[in-house]
Amino acid sequence: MAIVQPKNLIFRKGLAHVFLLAFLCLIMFPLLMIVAISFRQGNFSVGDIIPRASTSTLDHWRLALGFDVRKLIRVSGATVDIVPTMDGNTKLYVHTDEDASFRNFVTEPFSTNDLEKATEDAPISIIGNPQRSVDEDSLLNDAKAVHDMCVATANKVALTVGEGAEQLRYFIDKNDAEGTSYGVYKENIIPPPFPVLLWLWNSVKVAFITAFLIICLSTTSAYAFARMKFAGKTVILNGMLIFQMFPAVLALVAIYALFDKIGEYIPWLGLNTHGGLILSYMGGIALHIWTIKGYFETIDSSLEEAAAIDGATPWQAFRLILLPLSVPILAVVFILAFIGTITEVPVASVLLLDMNELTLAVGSQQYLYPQNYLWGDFAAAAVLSGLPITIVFLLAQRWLVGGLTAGGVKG
Amino acid sequence: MELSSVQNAKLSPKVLLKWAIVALIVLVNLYADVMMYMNGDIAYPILDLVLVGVGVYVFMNKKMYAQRYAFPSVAGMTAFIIFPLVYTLWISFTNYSGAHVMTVEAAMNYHLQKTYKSEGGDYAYKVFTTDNGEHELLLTQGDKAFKLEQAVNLNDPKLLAKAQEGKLIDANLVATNPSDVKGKLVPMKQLMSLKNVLKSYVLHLPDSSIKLSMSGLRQFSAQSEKYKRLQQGEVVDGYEVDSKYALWDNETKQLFLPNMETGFYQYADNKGVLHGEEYAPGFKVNIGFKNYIKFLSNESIRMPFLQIFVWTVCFSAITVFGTLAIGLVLACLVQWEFLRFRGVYRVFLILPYAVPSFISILVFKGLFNQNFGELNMFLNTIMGPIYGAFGLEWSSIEWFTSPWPARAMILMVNAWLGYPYMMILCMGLLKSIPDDLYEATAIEGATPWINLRHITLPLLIKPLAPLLIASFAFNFNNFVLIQLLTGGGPDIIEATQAPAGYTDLLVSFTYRIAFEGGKGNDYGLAAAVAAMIFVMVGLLSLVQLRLTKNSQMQG
Amino acid sequence: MADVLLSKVRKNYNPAILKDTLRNINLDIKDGDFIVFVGPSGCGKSTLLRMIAGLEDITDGDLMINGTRVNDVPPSKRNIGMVFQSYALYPHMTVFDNMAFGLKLQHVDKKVILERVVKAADILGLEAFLERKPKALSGGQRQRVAIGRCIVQHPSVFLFDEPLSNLDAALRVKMRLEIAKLHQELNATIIYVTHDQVEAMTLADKICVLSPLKTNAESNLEQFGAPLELYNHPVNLFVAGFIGSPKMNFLKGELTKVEDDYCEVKLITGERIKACINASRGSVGDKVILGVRPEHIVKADSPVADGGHVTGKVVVTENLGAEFFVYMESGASEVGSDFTVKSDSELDINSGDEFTVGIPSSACYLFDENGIAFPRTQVYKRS
Repeated sequence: MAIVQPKNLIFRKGLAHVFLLAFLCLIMFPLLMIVAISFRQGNFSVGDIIPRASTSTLDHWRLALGFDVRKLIRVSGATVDIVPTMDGNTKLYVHTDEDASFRNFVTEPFSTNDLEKATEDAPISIIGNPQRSVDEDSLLNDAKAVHDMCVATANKVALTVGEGAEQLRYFIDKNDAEGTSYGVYKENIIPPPFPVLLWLWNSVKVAFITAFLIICLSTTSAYAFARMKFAGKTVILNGMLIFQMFPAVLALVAIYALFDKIGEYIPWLGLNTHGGLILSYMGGIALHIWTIKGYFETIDSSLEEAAAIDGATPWQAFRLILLPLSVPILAVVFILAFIGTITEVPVASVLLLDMNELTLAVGSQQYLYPQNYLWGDFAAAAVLSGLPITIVFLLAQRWLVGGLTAGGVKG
Repeated sequence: MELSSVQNAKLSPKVLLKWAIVALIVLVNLYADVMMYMNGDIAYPILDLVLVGVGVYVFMNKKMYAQRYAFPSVAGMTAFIIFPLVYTLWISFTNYSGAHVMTVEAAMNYHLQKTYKSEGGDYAYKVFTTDNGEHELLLTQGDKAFKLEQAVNLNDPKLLAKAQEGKLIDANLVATNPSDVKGKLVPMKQLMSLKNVLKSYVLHLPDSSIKLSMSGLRQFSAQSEKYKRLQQGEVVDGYEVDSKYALWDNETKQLFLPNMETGFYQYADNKGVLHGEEYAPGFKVNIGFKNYIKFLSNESIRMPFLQIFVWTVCFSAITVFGTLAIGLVLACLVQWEFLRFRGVYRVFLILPYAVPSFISILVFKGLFNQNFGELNMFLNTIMGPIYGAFGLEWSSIEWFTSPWPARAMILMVNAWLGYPYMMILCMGLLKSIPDDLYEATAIEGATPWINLRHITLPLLIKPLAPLLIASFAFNFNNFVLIQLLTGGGPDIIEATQAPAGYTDLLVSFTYRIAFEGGKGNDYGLAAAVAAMIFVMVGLLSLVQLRLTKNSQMQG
Repeated sequence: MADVLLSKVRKNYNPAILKDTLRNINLDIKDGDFIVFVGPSGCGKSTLLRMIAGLEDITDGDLMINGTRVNDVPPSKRNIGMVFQSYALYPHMTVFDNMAFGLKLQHVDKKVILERVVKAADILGLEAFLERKPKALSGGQRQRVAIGRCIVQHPSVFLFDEPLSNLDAALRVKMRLEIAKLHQELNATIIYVTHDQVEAMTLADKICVLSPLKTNAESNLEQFGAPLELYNHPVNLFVAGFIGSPKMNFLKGELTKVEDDYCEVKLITGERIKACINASRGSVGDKVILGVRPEHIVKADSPVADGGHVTGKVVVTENLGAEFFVYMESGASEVGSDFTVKSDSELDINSGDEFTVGIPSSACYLFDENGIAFPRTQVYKRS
């Protein structure tokens, strides 16, 4: 259509652009915010809304990816001194009155030659002994030598106290506030709060298998409904559509009880198993059947008749003729089923119990409990896990839109 | 043809194998069904029998060839949608709840395990450690003394595990002389750590039916079974027992009967009239329409229910029409051929639909957070000075604790989530309107507004109507949004009998009644609400089906 | 090749409603015959073909191919080949794979498949297209592939379901000739469904005319015979009206004279027509319908116009160059239908004119009140 338009078209176009841009800003706000928050320090919104390069951090991302985050907390008022030993090695003496464990802290002796091999990534450990008295006279008391030693050992020497899980590590590092001088820092290792990647893997695994099985079940059914005549066909089709509209949330008690019972006989399909969860999703295929059926009906049925005359059984006609021609709609249904499964909350939240078995949709709620509010960590986890799904959807949107409307309009 | 029929008549190995597999499946399922039935289940064996029976019939009958293709999905539907639905309906007629979990039989067995201190008296005890690390147990009453027939190691992890599982450990006692028991006396302090194991011991006195078990930190006492099961038809104390689950209290010599209306055991007089305290654990009983009647009679349930119902309808309607309006406008704009960058706009406008909803809802939950949320931070920095200029004070909006801001938030978030779907639908339907209609109106001098009102809308509404109904039904049951965003809160304070909030939809209300602790997991009541929702949704879907048929016929 | 015998065949799609689509169809098709099923849409001709193919089950009656009852034999075992109206080429396979599909399913040796496909391609002139997908072919080429797919299977009966209806007019004529040629080459039994009587007349050894089944009719098989037999001796009004283009003119009247070798009919407009018909089955005064083919009508002053004259008002004329059509209104015609005249030369008349034409007595057809034909005693030969 290229109807000649009146003169005010440019004005109208401008107005439309302004409106769309303003609307997009509003729509994009939460999405941009969450990306920004994932780079911000801490879990509470303080300071800048848009993170500045100087204060932004990848800590939330490290946690989301399953790495520990290492934080150094300054031991206030700690001073460092050197205790030379008889055999030419060195001990470090750390002291502060403000921290009980550093009242008197002396390391085991070490050779300064070893320092050259150490790096920040692989620091050498020197065992430290708190509460060890030191003869004041043995201290070097040479400011320059101490400073040089601090430079040499900065971040390369871990002063360790205790053993195993209770081990604490201290590092000597540059003291920002005081410029050139050095301070002692306690290393704090923060483990990831939740196994996000495991959840993502669980979600993808469950969704992939579910979508695959749904495709298998719904194409065969759709074939029967589209091409074959049998008693009760319309009743079953309409019945399926009506029952599909009842939300699973309302029957959660029954679903829980059902899978509890199944688990007694077939453990890998019971509660707290991905097998059970996948099985429970096998009920929700009516809409997919309608979508595929609608597509099958657009394919000329004489193709299968020709195949029948060529000697194909109905199954062969279905597999060799109809299925290859239906790949586009199968892809659409696969993606719809995949996304539908990944975003499903109620059934998964009732059937899955262990932290390590959860799917992303169930697990990610745990970030925002008031008593343990991990807003920053959530932001990184959300972007990390949401991004792949979003990209898949956007890449497939052209077909999906067709599938949605076709399924909708025809369904 | 003749050839093939001859082949079929013969029992080829393939056919034999097929029958063997079918027979195996049937046998395994039958066995499982019988087992389940013996355990008192009826629903599951029936479900299994129906599915397996129909399955075998369909797959073994040549005439059922077409049904074979449809069977798996119908079976899935039956097992995981229809069966839970029927089961839920059944629950709605019971008092199934956190306090009434078990069957009568299980409750009876629980009571049967109870014991009471009977004659035979108390025995003081001491524990000695022998040289090889084992323990000797010495019980004394007056001048009588007994010890374990065999010394045991009470620290044995196997015993500990047994004790932790709540299993009882039987052991025989033998008469002894206190001075014969050798070993180091275990002091009181260490005895504490052995307590758990000792508690699970049942000690049999020699030549007597009296059993001893730990009754205090320092003593074992003779215990007897508190209840005895009565047979149906048996006459006790002038009362003819008419319940399969009747009990007799050996201690107080009273009838102890299940109350099949309240789901608790109670004592009864010799005419079978129940009285006094109700004894936990409760059991499931059929209570007819009582759960439904609660909605009519009980003000503290009826009021929140009606309030939530009205809100649910308003929420769904506002969402559907709001998202439709936004989506339609955007679809028209994005399909306007004179607009540049339409493709880019389209992708960005669809973005909210592409992001998994559970993530975006939680993002909003964080952004709207009253204390730490970025949104309030924005509003405070912008609105604070403006209000200040007029001498007013701006206070942060309480998105989660005041009813109306919470509802506004829910609607805004749902509009954000829902408009792309409407846009996609409208885009598809707009494309199906032939261009020549607009060419015809252009010749007649129509404005865009007239085009929209007289061409676009009337042509859209027919195919759109069933989809709008579906969307209404979806939002009517939009559990995930409520659960992830507000959890239903802020709570309605007047609702004392069931957890109810100002943003609760009927589904989340149901969920909270069933699963939110505090006010008791009342599965029966939740199922009653669910049943009422089933009816409403059923009506909606019938309307939708009718509308779909209409639009298809017109199309 | 093969004989096909249908006896008392009946088809009912929905047993709940007692409405048959086909009833009491009896056909004896001899080996090597080219049989055409014609009829208006909805007469069940395609259904009949699909029943022979095995794509529809037969409600009642027997279908024998080569003497064997095949009612319950699946399509692939009936040794037939079928060309569909939409060609039904597998879109995702190349031309070669399309033709080889059936043979592959039967696990025929690869060499044999190659040999047969190449041979069929050779017959049909498809060698150059074997690696193409159907999408890249023209309508005529697709048609040939569909035929080729049948040929490679060496069927004893070929079934064609309106194979030319999707082609344009010029291509249709060309393909029609090719099919005729193919029949001669293969010498196979061919059953061909069309609603185009030109195809039927040109291709068929025998034509089977079907009509939509009326509720109480005994059968909807109207006539089964050679093309010219149907043209010259249609058994009833339906066949007479269906065969021939333009359609035969029907005039209402009553018998006024009955002789052995001729009769006289008085039209309701009063004109008297003498017709070479043996109407001895009827008697004077009976209501009858007189039929005259447009191409048999002559000028009023023609010497062969020995049957009488018909006068009407010209509605419209059409000049096609080689042919000239006059559409007139006559009081004796059925309401709403024209009286058509076909002339080889241009006539100098305009719409609104009164126009009188002559009718040769040997060109007349006569039908009784129930539409059953009276036997003709002479067949008109155009000079």
